[in-house]
Amino acid sequence: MTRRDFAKLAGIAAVAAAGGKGSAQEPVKDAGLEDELKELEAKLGAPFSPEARKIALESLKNVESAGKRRLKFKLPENSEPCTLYKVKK
Amino acid sequence: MTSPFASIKEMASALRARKVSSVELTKMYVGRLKTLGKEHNAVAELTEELALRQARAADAKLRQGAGGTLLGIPYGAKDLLATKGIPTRWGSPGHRDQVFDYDATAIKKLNEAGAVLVAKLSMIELAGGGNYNVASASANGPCLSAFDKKRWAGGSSSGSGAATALGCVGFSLGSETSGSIICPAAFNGATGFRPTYGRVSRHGAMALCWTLDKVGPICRSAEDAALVLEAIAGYDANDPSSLAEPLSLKAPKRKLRIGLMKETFSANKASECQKAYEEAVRVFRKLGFEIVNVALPQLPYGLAVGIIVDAEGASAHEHFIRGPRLKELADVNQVASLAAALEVRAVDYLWAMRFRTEALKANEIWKKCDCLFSPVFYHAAPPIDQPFDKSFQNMGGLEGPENLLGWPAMAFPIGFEDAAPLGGQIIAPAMREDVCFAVARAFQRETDWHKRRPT
Repeated sequence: MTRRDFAKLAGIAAVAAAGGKGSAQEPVKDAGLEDELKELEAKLGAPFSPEARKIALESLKNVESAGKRRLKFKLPENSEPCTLYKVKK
Repeated sequence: MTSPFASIKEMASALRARKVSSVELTKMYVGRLKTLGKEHNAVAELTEELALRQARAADAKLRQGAGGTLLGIPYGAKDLLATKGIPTRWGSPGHRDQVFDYDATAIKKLNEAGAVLVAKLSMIELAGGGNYNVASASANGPCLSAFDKKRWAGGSSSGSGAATALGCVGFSLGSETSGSIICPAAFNGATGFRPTYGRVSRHGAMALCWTLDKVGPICRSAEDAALVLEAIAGYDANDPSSLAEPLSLKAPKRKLRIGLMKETFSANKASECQKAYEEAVRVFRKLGFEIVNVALPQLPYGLAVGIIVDAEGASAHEHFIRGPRLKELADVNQVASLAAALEVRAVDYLWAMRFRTEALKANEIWKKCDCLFSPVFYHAAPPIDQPFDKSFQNMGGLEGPENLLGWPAMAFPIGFEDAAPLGGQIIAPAMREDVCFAVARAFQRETDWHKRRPT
């Protein structure tokens, strides 16, 4: 576990803590993510527990957020990914 | 009787002088694993029967005058390394029945060296893939720090760090994607080494992130770590990312420059760590190292690592994530965030992999210094009963490029805070393990933090 991992956890744990206090499920502000969450549950074939649902929603927000944050760093045009395909005989 | 905290060379010497047998060493460590190891939740599976068989074979070879330094030395392996016929559960309640029919390459090499596997050691489930927020994110429960049972042993190589520092094994193997060797080394007062990416074969090690995973030793000294690394390193046809370039741990002849980056001790209320850090720097100067102030380019390394680990981890464990056993994971954070990681987009992952090429600019720092020194964390291990989002708030700054670029690092004790160890780390350029070892060895000849034992 590194120091950077906890920035990610802060939002997730805050949601979990709120859920752990037995509060009623809060209405989801982002209808798009709620749909994505439902799709995810459908993919997995089973619903999340209420606690896991809240954390999963936060995790999906983090995935979205990372996708937006990375746009701030512009890469050179046509730069290649750091992967190498080794041709085998 | 040989001390359970003996170095590998001391044990090897005692074995050859017939002061102790490998069977006796093995029984000693098994006994300590059954008591201390179990109390600290450091043990995933004892391998007593195998160990005694290996120890008897080692004793026979020793009687013939055969073998290298690791012959007959008992060790533990993080439970993400496949061991033939012995459960390999990855710390995960959902993988409790998992048994492989082959040995990981690192295990195979240690078998060939005659080392004796006494236990599979506990770990954070799935090496912390997704996110974990509690010390109990493990099939074996929260692993307790060697020095203080009220503190966490770190992760994800929790058991490897604790068992080594407790004198329950001669040495151990851990692994690191992003912090999982250096963290438990720091929190247990052990000396852990994260090799260059590709230096040790990943064949048979659970994949969390194919392009970031590294297997490495956690020991009680840099000297011991060198002996283990030399045994497990090397090209492996079963791991296409493994390096063909030979490993050299011979100390460079010229005067080395240690780079210091800007640290934020005050902001993180880390006065004890600051004292330990400054004392370590004083020791480095005394030893003749040149100290230089340096800075890494301010780039979003952590963001890229997060995306890469999420995407590759979700892919590596997709079958499990989509299956009925996901919910059996010990930490609900892991359940939810592994599932969410299935939604990482290809374009985001590819951005991160393209960024990785740009991040190579960070290698410019090696024109100004030969290695970097920094605290692993700004505080000793956190309390076992607090969620990490609370307990890690003042632990330190942002992640640098080290794991993204495959740089090696040695974590070793540099002091104490409230009787719990503080860890420092030396980070070197890729394939320059010799620099890490030169600095750490010199530091450990001059200081005795690594010789402090839990009471």
